[in-house]
Amino acid sequence: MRKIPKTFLIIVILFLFSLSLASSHSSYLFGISLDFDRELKENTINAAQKFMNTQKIPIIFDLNNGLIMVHFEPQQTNYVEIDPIDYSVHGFRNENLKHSQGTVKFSTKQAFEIAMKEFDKLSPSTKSELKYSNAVEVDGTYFYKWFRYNNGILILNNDFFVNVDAVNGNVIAKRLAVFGYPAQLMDKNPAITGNVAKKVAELTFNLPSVENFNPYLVINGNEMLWVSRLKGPFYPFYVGVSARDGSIAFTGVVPGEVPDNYSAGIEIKIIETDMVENIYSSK
Amino acid sequence: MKKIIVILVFAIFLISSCSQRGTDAAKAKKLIDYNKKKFDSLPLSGKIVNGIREINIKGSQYEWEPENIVVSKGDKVRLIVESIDVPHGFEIEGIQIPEWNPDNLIKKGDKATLEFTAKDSGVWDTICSGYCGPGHGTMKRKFIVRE
Repeated sequence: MRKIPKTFLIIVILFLFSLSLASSHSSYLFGISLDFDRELKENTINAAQKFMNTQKIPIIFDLNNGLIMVHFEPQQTNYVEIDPIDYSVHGFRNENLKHSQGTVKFSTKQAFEIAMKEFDKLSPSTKSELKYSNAVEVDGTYFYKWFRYNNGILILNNDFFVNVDAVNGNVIAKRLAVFGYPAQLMDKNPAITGNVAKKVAELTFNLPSVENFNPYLVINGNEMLWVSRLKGPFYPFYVGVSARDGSIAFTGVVPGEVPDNYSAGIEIKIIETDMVENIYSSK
Repeated sequence: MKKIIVILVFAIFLISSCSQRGTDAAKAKKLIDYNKKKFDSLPLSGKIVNGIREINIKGSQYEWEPENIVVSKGDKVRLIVESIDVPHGFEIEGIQIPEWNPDNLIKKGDKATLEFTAKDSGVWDTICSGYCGPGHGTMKRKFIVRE
């Protein structure tokens, strides 16, 4: 297991966070108002208060990839994440459960067993789509993460994590993302090859690809994308090319976390659709 | 003789790899062309008022009317964005509209007027930039600037 310095991790998280905010207002919104819908606001607050066993009034609401974060304390230290569709609790963070002093008593393996108990609480269908990825140690706690896959292809922003305190063994945070689309509504096979997608990216931006970077497949929403990497004038950047029709889906950063060493793509069968065949055969 | 065989094998390898690259590049060019022309059949949005393309947009949970906005490159554009039900925000991702903050919420019945020039051709996403309910994330359409 890797041990990452806290300062470095905070800088990286803030950097990625700022990039994600810059690239899309819709995935994370600070300080949203729920005043336009009284029922939504009341039910959201009630669900959060019940979960935290508190009567505290929330200080602010944020929106995080479709979940409403109900904050009871400042600086992301005490919140509950509620699905506004059915008011179910998808996650929380409670820093009051974190150790204030003491030495590490739980090994990665012991803490993983605690995290697994949280994983086992998920529905069988949810569990069957998630694959365990990795553990990271941060500031006396362990993060365990699972990612969702369809046909071996990573689905962006569909993940589950558990954060376990290494000193007292408490689960101080966890989160199950909203699975936006059922597997059967997602693309299963790309209609264009990774090399064609790479060329689309190169020709569109008139830039060369980063050497030794092999395009990989991800699913964003329900659309399959090839991710390429180009050498920009100042720094390299990613380009998402639709595996359906070769259109550009995103540029800059990949709009979701990708596990280390993830490389699905080459082994996935290409099924050219009639539309793509017609485009190729046009003059 | 050996030298000739080696050169021939090398030449065949070079030609085949070049033609493969050419095939991928040719396919890529066709896809790029297709995506450039994909929206050509859509009519231009709104009407010209005193030299400005004026487009009325209505936002409601969770759709925009008209669905897509189509203008020509170089058009001076005036978007009049009205909220029908709850507060909505409006943003064209990647385009900075002068004197417009996407964090501004347009309340029910209010109208916001946004003016800018469509300088570059291409396709951008228009989104609701203020939380408007559980389907907020699906309130995403296209802003198309034709060559």
